[in-house]
Amino acid sequence: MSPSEIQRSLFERNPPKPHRGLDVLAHGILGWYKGGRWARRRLVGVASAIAVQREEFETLSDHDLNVLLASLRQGRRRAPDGWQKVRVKGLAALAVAAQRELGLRCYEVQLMAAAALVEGYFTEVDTGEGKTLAIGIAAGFLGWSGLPCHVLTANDYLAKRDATQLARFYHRIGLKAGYVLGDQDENARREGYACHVTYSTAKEVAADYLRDRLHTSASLVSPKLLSLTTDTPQTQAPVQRGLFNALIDEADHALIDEAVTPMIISREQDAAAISEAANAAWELVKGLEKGPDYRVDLETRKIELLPQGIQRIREGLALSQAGLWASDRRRLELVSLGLEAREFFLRDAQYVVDEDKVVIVDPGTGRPMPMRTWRQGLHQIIEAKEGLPISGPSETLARISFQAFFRKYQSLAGASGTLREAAAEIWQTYRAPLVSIPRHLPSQRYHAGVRFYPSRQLRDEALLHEVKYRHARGQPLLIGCRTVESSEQAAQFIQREGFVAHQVLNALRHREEAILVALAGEEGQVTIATGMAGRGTDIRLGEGVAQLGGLHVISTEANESSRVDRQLFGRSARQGDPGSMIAFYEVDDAVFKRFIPGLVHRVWRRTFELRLKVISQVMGSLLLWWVHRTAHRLSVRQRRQVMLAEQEIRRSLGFTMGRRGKYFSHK
Amino acid sequence: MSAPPPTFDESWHRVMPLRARLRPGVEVHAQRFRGQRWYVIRDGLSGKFFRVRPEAYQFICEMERAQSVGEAWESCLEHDVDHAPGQGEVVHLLSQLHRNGLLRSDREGDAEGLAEVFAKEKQSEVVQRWSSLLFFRLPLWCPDAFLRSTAWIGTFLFSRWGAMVWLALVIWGASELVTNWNAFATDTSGLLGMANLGWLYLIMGVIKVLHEMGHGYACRKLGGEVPEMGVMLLLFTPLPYVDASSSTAFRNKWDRILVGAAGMLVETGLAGLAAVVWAYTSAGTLHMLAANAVIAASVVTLLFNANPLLRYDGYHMLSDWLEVPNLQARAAQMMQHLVDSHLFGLKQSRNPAETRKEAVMLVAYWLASWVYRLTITLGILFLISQQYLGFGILLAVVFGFMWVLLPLLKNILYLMTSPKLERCRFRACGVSAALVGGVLAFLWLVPFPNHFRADGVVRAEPFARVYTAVEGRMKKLVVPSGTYVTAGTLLVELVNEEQLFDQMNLEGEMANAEAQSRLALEEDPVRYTSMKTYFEALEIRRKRLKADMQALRILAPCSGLWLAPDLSQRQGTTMSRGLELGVVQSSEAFSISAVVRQDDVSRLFTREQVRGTEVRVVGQEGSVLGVTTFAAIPAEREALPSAALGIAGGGKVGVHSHQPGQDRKLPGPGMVDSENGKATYATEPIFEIRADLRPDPAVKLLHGQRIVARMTLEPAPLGTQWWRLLQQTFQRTYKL
Repeated sequence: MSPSEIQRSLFERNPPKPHRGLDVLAHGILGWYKGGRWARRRLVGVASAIAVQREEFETLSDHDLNVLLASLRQGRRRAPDGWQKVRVKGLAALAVAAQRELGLRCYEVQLMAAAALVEGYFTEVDTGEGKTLAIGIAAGFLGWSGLPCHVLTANDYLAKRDATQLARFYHRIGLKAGYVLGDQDENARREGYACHVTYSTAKEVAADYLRDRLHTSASLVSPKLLSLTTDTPQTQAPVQRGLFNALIDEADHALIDEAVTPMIISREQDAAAISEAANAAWELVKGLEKGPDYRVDLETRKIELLPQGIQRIREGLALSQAGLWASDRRRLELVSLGLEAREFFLRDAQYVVDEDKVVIVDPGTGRPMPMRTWRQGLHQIIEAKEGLPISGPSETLARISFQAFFRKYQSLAGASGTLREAAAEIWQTYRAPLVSIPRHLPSQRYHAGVRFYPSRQLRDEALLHEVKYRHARGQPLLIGCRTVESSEQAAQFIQREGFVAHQVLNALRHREEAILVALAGEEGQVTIATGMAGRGTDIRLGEGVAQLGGLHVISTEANESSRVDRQLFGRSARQGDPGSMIAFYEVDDAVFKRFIPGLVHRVWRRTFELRLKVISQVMGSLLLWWVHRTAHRLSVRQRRQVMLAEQEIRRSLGFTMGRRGKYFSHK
Repeated sequence: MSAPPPTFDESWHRVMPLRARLRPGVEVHAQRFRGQRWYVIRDGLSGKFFRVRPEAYQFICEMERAQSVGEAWESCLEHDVDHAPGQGEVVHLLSQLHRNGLLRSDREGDAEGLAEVFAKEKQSEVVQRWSSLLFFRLPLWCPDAFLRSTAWIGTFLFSRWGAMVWLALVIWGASELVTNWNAFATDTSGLLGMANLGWLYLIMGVIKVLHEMGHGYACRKLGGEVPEMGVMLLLFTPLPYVDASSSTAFRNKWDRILVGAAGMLVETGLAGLAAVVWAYTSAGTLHMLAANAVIAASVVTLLFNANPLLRYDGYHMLSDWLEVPNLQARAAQMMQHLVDSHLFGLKQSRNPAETRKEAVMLVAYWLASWVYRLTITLGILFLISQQYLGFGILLAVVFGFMWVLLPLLKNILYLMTSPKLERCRFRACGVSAALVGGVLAFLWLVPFPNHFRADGVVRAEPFARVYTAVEGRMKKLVVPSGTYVTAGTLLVELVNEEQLFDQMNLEGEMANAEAQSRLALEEDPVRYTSMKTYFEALEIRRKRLKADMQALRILAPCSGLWLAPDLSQRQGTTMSRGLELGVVQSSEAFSISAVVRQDDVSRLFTREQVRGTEVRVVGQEGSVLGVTTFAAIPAEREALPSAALGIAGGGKVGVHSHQPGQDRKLPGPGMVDSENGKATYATEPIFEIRADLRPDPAVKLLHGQRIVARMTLEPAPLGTQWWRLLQQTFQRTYKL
């Protein structure tokens, strides 16, 4: 590869600095204007222009359409920046192509979404309104320019599904679409990225981004410098072709929920050294008692060792006094990690054990994350806790947070059903405005409301009653739980009560996901699921189910984020189908306990004891709103902290950047 | 106890493969602070300092040897696993070194980022320069080469011989001053006079240049560089300064202290020299200049340079002596830590002090410097605004912005946005609000004793002065002074021999006249008539004489205490007519008459009621007298009850000597001490308070004694009281 090719394939934008002080306010006002009703009105106009144009193109013969598509594509290639002139024509032609190949005629709102995406808007499209097609059309338009376009979906399954489903469409418009999945090898990946439109997940793209930079000898090489070098420094050609366009499906998940999760490229180290330490630490931890030996701060998630505990650790840690763990301070640290593993990391909540491995469960989606590990030491102690073989600690080679990664794209757009809450943050962090796309058809979703119960038992009774009632009518049911553990409990409970015909979808049973999802919409199905059956899951209704009232969603546990709740409810009443939902929450739900001040919580409990039905329910709704708001604000602040901290690290570790120079004479 | 930083760090992968080491030209010096070893890393180019612990130093050494940071860390672990730094600490250390421009690595580095940091630093430097108007610095010259070429001066000055010369000068000068103290005092009394200010400043300038040269030579002699000299503003007066900060790297703390003290040593030496010159010159310019120099080189030095609360020599010396670098910053950190951990409940807050003793010291220093700065700021404001009101107000606005508004805003911002307080923001805000609210409530709600004072005099009721009515020699003091007498008691007996003679003459004459008139009765009735007339005339004379004789017996005019302290010594002396011998005053019934100035009058006659009055007699402050009746006379007066209350008589009320004009009110009866006829007219309207004193046998009361009456008013919160005081001060001082 020539230097210029390498430079191009390592392209990344230098992210703008976050605003500070009053600039934030001014910038916020600009964002409010950009995402306001003016933008929406303008886009509605664009969409109807496209629709008019489409009617004209619909009459073209297949051959004429191909000629048109080819000429449009060439026009885009010649002038990638002149998208505004050809947007109406281009999108109209693409919509017609999609119609001919896929048999799906775009609604006007989908055209509007596509137009917005092309312009770099984040679009809120209500769940089940056909985001996939809109994104596909927009990706086609962007892909025409010749610059690589990444379509990032929430998981591998969706990436593959969408890429396969839309492959014919892309072929028709003269583009090649590929996908990059977690289990692919390097060649397959390179092939995937070589396509005009690449379907993948944020995780994979970020990982490849890091790997590319590691392999080209100088990690985080700056394109500016690279262009000046005469020798080609890389040992291996990059697999990606630069970060130009990204269309993010389920944008809020990628940009907000996942934002602070770091993408880490690591190398597994020898396990022998830490294995002994982890086992010894866990042996000791088993003997320590909460109270006399250590104190737990649930709020900050910190362990504080007490003098007695320290004494016991000093005397009792069966670990040789050699190497890294010889120092007293590190031995205490090790045991603290063990205590953290015991107190904060619970099996089937934070992780599951799958094939003798500790697999982290994503708190947002409920999906297993087999590639992820916790920080050094902690993961090993958890393995020791579960009595599993100790894996080697992973040595970080490169690391980037998704937030920082997405900011490196030249242009970023995305769609999701639940973006509204995050509009301000997306604008401030990624400099992209948000527009809400109206619904195509009025929603047929019936929200039966949220009910609060003072105890688990009462909630379960209500749940059972609801299940029985709906099941008797033949409606398919989706029961949402928060953790793997609670989903299993719910399954057992329902089984005990005599319902045999139910399925469980959680991180432990992720292999059956596709089948379970396909069945979930059939008549009389009862599906118990964690967050896995939230985002991106399209549950098609079985025959005649629509007449029965469609899918009925029951939420049993509140989530910290209202968006996760909305995603779960969004599984029903998709694309004009009817659907209904109800939520049964228990007062002592972990989320309520964490965010509601103790006194208020007690008062709320008391209202149940006093049988003040209306008051306790109204109070519950208010508190739920308050919990969502508080959690949202907390996480927004956390993400901003992470961003600033990253900037700080960049600044303070500036000496680690750049190409390896010739300042030292290498021996 | 805060948890130690974790062994593993998330940024480790960024530094691990690097080869890094200190930049060439960076020096490392070992020092001891409070018994602990530290290493000071000094960058000769930027003059920046950086202090690290031995563990970090160990790592830096390993880095020189190793191929990569990771390797260096591992060999640290091999050598001393207990003290090896964690990965996080290494990353932190490297980033700090990088930010201070002390590190080089085998990477090209983020030049853009460094430039950004540099620009930011530069900017904050400028801001700081302008925001501390009192300590403005303007660099002008690099004296290093000069100091080098004249190094012999320093070598001499800071040698045994130099010390002896210095000591001799100081002792000689001091002895000259002591022996000629009165002359010196008269010579320097006009020091701050307008005519002398220019000379004083000139002298001061010269002395300060020598002072700074002293620092320079000391620093140079001990091996430090002196890269900068210039002018700074000390309380708006441009004075020279020198940058001897390279002394920070000196290993021995006494060397550092010597550099700090060098300037003052030079000055005290100069003061001694000037004193000698002053003593051996006669009046003239040199004499006067020398006197100026003595003051400038001693007093000013002691006031400013030696003062550790200002950031001059004294501060640096104290900081070196206590072995607490950055005393001020650390004191501020200490306070921050105290507030964070104790008030806001921030458990993670790190204590900047290593020992308890240091903590106490830091807090004490902070408090002292805070109080001092507040005082000096207010003092300067007051002083300047008295002369130049406009400038004073401008200054007050600037000071108010810098030292009240800005810190306030900063604190509010800290409370609202600091990520540190994430977990305890609610408590932090609550505690802050409660504190501020508490102080405000205390000031504006809690009533405090409220009183004001008035000067006055004691009046005895009744009171009479005893005069001699006729001339006479004092024959006998019948009643000793200090005795209680009733009206008409004989006090003093005088004799007048002339009168006795007169009496004898008269008696002879009368006998003669009587004999002659009897004779005429028989012989010459006409003559009898004339003789009778003559006799009558004699009779009248006799009566008058008798009265005069009577008047020699001086009686008490009223009942009361007879007070004639020095009369007993005048036994036998002749007293002219009309001489005051003493007074007879009541011994139990006393009243006071006090004057209230306009400022306080409103408090007398408006809503506030006088709850009680306490009277203290000047000279007998220990005992307090009560009053039985109290009356404030609601009418303005100009005549003072006693001349003692006017400025001329030692009081506080301004007086003028001319008689009030026609248009003015005539003084009320009893208001003028007409006897001594001094000026007793106040320049401002005054109001009178009269009160009868409750007798107290323990207190000796005399008519005309000065008293201070303290009127207790309705208790009022301190805030209101202070606010009124401030308003009054403003009104009086600035006529606003």
